[in-house]
Amino acid sequence: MSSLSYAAVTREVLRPMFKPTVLWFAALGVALSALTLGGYAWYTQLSEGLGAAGYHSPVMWGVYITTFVFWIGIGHAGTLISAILFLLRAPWRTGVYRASEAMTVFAVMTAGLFPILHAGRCWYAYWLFPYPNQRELWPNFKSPLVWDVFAISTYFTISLVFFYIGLIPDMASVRDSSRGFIKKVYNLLCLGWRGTDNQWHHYLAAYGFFAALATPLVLSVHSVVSWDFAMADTAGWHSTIFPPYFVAGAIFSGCAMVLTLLIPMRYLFDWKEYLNLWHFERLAQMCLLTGNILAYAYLIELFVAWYSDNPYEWGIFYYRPTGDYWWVYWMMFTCNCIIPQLWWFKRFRTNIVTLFAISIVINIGMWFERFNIIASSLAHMFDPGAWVYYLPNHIEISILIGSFGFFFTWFLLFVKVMPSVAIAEIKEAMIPPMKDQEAA
Amino acid sequence: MASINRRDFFKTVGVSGAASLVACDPKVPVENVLPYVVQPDEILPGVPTYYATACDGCAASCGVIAKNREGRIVNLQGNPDTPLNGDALCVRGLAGLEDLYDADRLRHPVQGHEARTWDEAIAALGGKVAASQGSDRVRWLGRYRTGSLARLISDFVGGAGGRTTHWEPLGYEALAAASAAAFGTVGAPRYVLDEAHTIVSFGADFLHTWLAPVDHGRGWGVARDPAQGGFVAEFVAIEPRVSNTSARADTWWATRPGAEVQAAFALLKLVSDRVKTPAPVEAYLATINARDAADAAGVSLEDLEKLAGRLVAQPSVVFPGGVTTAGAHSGHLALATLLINALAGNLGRTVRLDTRLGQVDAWSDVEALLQDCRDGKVNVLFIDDLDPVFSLPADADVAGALAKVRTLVVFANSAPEGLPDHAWVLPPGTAYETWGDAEPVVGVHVLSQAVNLPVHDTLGVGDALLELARKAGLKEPVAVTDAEEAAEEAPEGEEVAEVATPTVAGKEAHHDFEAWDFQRYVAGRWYRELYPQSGSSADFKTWWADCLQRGGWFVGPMAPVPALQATLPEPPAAIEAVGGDKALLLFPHAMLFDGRGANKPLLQEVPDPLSGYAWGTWAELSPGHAASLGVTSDDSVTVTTAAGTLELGVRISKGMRDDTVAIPIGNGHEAGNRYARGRGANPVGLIAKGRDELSGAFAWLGTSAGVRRGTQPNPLYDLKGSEDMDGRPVALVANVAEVLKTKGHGERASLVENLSIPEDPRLVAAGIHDMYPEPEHPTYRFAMSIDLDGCIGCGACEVACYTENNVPVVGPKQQNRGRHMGWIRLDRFWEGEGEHPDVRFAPVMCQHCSHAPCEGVCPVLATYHNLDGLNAMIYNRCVGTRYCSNNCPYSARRFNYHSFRWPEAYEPMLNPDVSTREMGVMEKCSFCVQRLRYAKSEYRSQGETIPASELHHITACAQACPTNAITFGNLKDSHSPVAEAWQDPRSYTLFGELNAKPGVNYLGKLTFQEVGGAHHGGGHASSDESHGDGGESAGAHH
Repeated sequence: MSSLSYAAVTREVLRPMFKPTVLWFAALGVALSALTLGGYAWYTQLSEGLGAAGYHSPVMWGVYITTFVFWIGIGHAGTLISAILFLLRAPWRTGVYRASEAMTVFAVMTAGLFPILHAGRCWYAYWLFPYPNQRELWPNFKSPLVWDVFAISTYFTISLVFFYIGLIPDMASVRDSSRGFIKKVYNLLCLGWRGTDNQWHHYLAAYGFFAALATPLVLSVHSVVSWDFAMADTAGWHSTIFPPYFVAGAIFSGCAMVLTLLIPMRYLFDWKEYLNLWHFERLAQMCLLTGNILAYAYLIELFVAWYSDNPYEWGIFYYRPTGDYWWVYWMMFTCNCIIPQLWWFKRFRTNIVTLFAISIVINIGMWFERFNIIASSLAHMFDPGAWVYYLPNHIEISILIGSFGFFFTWFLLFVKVMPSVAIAEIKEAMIPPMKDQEAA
Repeated sequence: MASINRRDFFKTVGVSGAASLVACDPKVPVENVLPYVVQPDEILPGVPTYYATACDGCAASCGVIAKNREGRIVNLQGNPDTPLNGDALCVRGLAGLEDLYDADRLRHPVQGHEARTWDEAIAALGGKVAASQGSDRVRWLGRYRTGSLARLISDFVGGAGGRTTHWEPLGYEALAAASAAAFGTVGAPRYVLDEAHTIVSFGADFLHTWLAPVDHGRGWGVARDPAQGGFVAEFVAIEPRVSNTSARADTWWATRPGAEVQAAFALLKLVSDRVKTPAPVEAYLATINARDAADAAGVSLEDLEKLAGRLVAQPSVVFPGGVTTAGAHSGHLALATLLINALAGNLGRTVRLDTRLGQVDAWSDVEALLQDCRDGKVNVLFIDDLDPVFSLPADADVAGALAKVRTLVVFANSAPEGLPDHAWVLPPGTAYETWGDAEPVVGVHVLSQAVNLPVHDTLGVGDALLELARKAGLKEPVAVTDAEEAAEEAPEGEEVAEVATPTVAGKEAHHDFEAWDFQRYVAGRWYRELYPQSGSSADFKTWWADCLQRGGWFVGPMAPVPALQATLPEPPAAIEAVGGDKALLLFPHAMLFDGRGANKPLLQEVPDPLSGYAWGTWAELSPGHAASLGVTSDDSVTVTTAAGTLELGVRISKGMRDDTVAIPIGNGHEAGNRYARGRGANPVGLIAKGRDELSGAFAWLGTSAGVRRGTQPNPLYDLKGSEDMDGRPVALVANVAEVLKTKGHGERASLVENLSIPEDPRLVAAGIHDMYPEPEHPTYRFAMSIDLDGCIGCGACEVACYTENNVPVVGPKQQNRGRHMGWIRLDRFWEGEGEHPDVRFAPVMCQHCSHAPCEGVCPVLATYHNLDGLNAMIYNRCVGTRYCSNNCPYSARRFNYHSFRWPEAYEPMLNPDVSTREMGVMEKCSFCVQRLRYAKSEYRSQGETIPASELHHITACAQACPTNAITFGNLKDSHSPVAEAWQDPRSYTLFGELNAKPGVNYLGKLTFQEVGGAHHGGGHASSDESHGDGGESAGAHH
């Protein structure tokens, strides 16, 4: 980066914001089509009832909760990268954190749709909030679903604020590069940022403070989500390993998703200087670490189930790899535990094609992981007389596709209106102008 | 308007109200029916009135209590005063309201496709009868009838100079003929299981569809209860297929299809070796060698010897054959079983020759009648509630014969299939709209009141015959005159006077024909025949009113044991098992019976207890047979015979011989209502007609079939989950000998092997058992006990629950997506192999746990534990997160996938005490909270709590259970039956180790086999010891 000037950084990072390309429009078109498909499926489901989806007793959670957990998991990497790695002073986060924070915010928004559209009477979903009402009815604070409401809304709020704070100096850069009405808008958005020493002083203090505030949330939100399962008595869910296992899985999938998003951006926006193999290799290493934690969790689950001498526990863990859902289990195991092992080898970690391909594989594997946990446990509960085999139907698949449409619509709009790479931090990492000449 | 005063207002309202009532249907006179137990001064809205009446679903004629709310019947339950069924009913009886409110039933008489009025019908048909009088040209083909209607039919047809034929497709013709041959009696015997130490069946589906299933079920409940009589009946099934009944057999000997009679001969021979045998039986057995016969049947002689020893030692019941064994020798099979019963001393005790299945004719008589039709010898043929074209194979050519009849009159609420265009179809309405009586067993006279005004323009068979008789100018049936006398002689009473002298449209009836109706015909017969027998000191009207209230007159005088006839028929010389590729076994559908249940959506919806299939027809194959074809239960097979081919979904049953294929009868209607028409397939089309040589009975067995792999996937969905328990402790068993040993010794040690909660001795010493306190139950802890040994899988609890709680029928499309709304899931686990099927049925509903897992996870507190111990569900508060369902270890919760709607016609059937649920909310068993609330408020007003006797059968399921396997009550009352059941050594709670503290306990099924070691999880006394063999015992099952 030493070859770049500050002006060049600003110009190159902001470039995608000025000229919408055909490719961008095409991508937005695809995303909107997916969103429309999902919207239509939801409309069908609202008018017919949840029977439009493939549920049948006792499988009462399926693709929607799977996808909810999937998106919440995706939403983990952003805060991890921006907050925890900031506190740990990991230099490679600089190039990738903005996009991953945006990903977090949009992923949590996407995830937030699912508890609503999975509810039988979603028009009453607000009953889960503890709002004052004349009937003096409160939610059940013992229910993990109510904990979810708090955990996710807190996480979303903090992530959004943290995201916004990080954007302030960069939005000032946008303001400086724009004219007219748009300039006014960005002026407002950047809260009149002028880049004085005093502002920087306060800004960095605030940024550190929010990073510290966001850090525990990275661990807490997915722990709480995992309690939706771990607090239930259902075999295959009822496990103390779930919180760390879910957090590791979330970071695993989140980092993979960051790779999935950034690798195309590197080419689309010609950001080879800012997003390079060095960043991607770090992300791949992150995936390797968390992926192996996950693999350990999968294996220890099996061992504990066998060792527990509990017929239900062992029954479900025997059923997952060998029963009706064997293909889900092995999809999960292959995608999450076997294929990512390639990243032990440097040439797979440093090859853009394998990086991208494996990141997609991990995303798929992590979706199947949640599906494996949810569907197989419910299909194979305590009483064999109630065993069933559940498969999602077209409505559920459409809504799943729609969720990607929702996410990517936001993301594509984001890259159009906000700088996707942190300009200020890039500049911070650069050798200041004239410095080298001074040295010379 | 200001001038109207209160008095005028009430006058106006009263008069207009009465006028509108009268205006409802001027043709139908307003009859008074007498309330049963609760007799309010007037009908109070919201307060149900109960009337005694009878079911006419089959010849068993069970007594019924019809619950009437604001003038419409909303619920049916058994009449506890009737000696045959008590307060239980079978599935078809419980679903009887779906006949009454059937959306597509005939609303008026029709001829061909044209609507007719009753006046037209009576005029036209009366003329035809008159014209054909006296030349054996008026004939009757009808179902079994007893009581007054049987008499009237016989008088009417006899008066017209014709003959009657009473026949039913899956009837008891062979048994009736055998009874006649052996003892000279009429009709089938009554089998009383209560005292039987051994029950043997040669294929009779006696707990579900055969003869009087509810009566047999009650007997089963007694005979299998170790607390009653100190014994447990052992059930040996000798038949080629494990039926719904023989699923409960302790031992099953799979005979060669068609050779069951050999097994019966061998057994008879072995029994005769052990007792003094009368000469006719000796003569009958002269040519029979027990070993050869046993070998021919494929049964071990040693086993038969042991069985014979048991039969002569203790009271027993030997049932004859059923549909699967009704081959070319069903008459001799029935005769042999009767003789075994006679030699074993069962006659008059467990086998009573005193039923009254009317004049039971045989298939050969029907064939003769059909031939007469073909020959043009029949001018007028009446068909009474039969669907002969559906029920008989194509080569019987019923449709062709009926087309030759000049005037065909069919009494049916829905036109049967294959009728010629000129046929008249006269809708008689249901038993609940018409008067009648029945005498299923000698001395058991069941009265059937018209408890609902006719829903449509229908006229009962009896009323229609009386009208026709008058029109045709037939000789007056004797009893009618007597009815008039009865009315005259009886002193004037108050309300009851109207019963015997009804008024028509406000006019006092006179001795003219206009006043005749079947109600008075019945009353007349009772006055003339039964009242004198009763020896009642009351006058007739009081006695009659009492009989109406009670539901009949039940004395049950036992017929003396008749002597054996001097000569018995010759046993058949040669007996051939069914040859060919595979023997085709047809069997009656557990819910639909011979097909008459197919129009009831509820009976289509509730899955078959063994296969778990609903809304269709399937083919049952043995596992070996399926493997040889390479099919699984996801596939279909084609079954081909000389008569035709059907492609059916596969059910793989361990209770089949490899050389057989079985298909249920009941579906495949071409006519009928929207639920019956085009549903499934009719396997009768696969067989050829045949008959038993001794009795002339129809032979259902004898066709061989080729079975090939089909092209379609199996269209049916198995609602029973896993075939077995997969090594999990769900439906547990206890050994009979051990259970009997504990009786009277005050031992309470558990005899069932269940997982237990590991207990830390330090906590136990400190008196700490739970982290959370017990919920408070100040007065009641409502609880249920289910005896798995009593459970025969009949599904009565499921059906009763549907009707009581407005549980929606979701239909085949939804059900094939695995959706089923029944609050009771009848688990079926096929645990045994070969000779010991060990099929375990377990009804699982919401267990109303004290520490309910569902309650804690509901984010909006839509479900909670109330002070009565109920796990209450607030539909209005439910958001539909469905977490409760995920967390229910019993998978007992149901979700409203859609806002399920009932067709408008069925809406009056809905229980007004129970709300229907909208889409998106959860529901589940409520322990019939509406009944509990009603009873609580009744007793609370008197400052009392509900007594155990009242609670015992208060829920719909407990009431409906024919074997009394379900007991309800208050656990706080330590003397209640349910609290005692809780202390039974067989008692356990399902998944008790989860410590949800259910309000339902189960009593382990009884087995004569050794118990122990078979199941994982015994002996978890200490958590430290249990680790060693952990994986393998559970894993070994896979």
